Amino acid sequence: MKEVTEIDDIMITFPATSDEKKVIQEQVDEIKSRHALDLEAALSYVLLYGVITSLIIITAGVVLFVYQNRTLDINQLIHTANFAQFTATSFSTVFSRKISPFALISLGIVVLMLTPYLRVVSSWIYFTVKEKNVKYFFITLWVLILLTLSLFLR
Amino acid sequence: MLPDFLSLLAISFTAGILGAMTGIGGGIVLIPVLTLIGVPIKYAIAASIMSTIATSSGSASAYVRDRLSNIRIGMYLEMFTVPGAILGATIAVILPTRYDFILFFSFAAVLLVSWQQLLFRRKGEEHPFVEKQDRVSRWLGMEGIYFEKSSNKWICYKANRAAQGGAAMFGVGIIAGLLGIGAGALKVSVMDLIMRMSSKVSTTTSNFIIGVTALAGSSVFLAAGLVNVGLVAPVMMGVTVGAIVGTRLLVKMRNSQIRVMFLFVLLSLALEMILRGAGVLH
Repeated sequence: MKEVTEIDDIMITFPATSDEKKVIQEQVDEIKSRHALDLEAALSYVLLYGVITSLIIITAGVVLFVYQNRTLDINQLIHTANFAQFTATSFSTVFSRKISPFALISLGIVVLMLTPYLRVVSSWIYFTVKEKNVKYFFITLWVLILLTLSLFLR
Repeated sequence: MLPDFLSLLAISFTAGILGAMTGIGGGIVLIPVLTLIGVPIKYAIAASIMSTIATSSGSASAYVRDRLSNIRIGMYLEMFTVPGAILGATIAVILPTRYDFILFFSFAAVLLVSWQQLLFRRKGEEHPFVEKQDRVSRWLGMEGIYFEKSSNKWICYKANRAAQGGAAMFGVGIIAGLLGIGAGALKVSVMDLIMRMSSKVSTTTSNFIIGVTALAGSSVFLAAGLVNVGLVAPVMMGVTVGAIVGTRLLVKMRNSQIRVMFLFVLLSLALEMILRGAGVLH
């Protein structure tokens, strides 16, 4: 009994009844038939492009600093109260044409921190809309609430 | 005050490469080295945890696309790592400077754990057999299917002991927040040993959890005013690019050379942290 079951190209690592085996085969067939770009793929692009965008903005900020000051001695603490205010100030500074190196690097940090947050938001939508899974609706909601609270901390 | 930008960049780049090549992560090497060149440990922790968001999200994207990571299990475990990280980061923030030795000793402990994991090359089972899934795990629907390229097979698995795994993950979250690291090795151990997941799935799922956990920790450090732009910028740039390069190099370079080098590095850093904690080194 303590053996993996192999059916064609499927390996099952737990004891499965014949009904379960049938379900698994159907699931594998379903996965195989999926389109290359489904939600999971889309989510992975959110993560990747979020990080790339943030890296570009931060680098731009550093370059601007060197251009303006002819030195690389950046030394500035972020003093805003929490992430929400931090986001608001960095966006408003950058988009009011008062682009400073500090504002750009801050914006890069905002984009970086929003990336995993968006990831959780999209998973929540996925569990709610596509899977209609009540348990994971609540589990993801809990994670989302905690993250949101931590972003508004202080 | 801060070491100069280019040295910070170079150090972070090296840490990123080493972290990616060994799979241990950049933060654990980065923070001890940063403290060695004069960065106060709390600022080093804050910068490191932010760069962890970047490195983990970058590689998590590839794994999610390949459908290796289990999003359900990841989300379930985040339920525990996130409050853990908030707690850990809060402890790090409010800890008075005279108690910094607690941070140094915790670092030494995590370094030594990683060191022995690397030394004995403990790897999880490839296809652990779950005889009977417990009630909690079944209720949570902890199962999945992934495609294994090496054997050209679809692997169908179940995870076990969700409750115990969740409790352990809370502790791992505290360590991640307290020390500003991804703590990937610890997360993988919980999934491999407690939840009996295949090493491939646990490694990739851990990466997925790290980003979200690091975000929770980051926001605590940000609110505490411990984020220095002049430190975060080079660290984030260096570690991320280093991680990308490291992943590529991994394929080319022979594994044993890296291992010996890294074993030495980890041990020296653990020693540095102990000396610092004991007040011998300033």
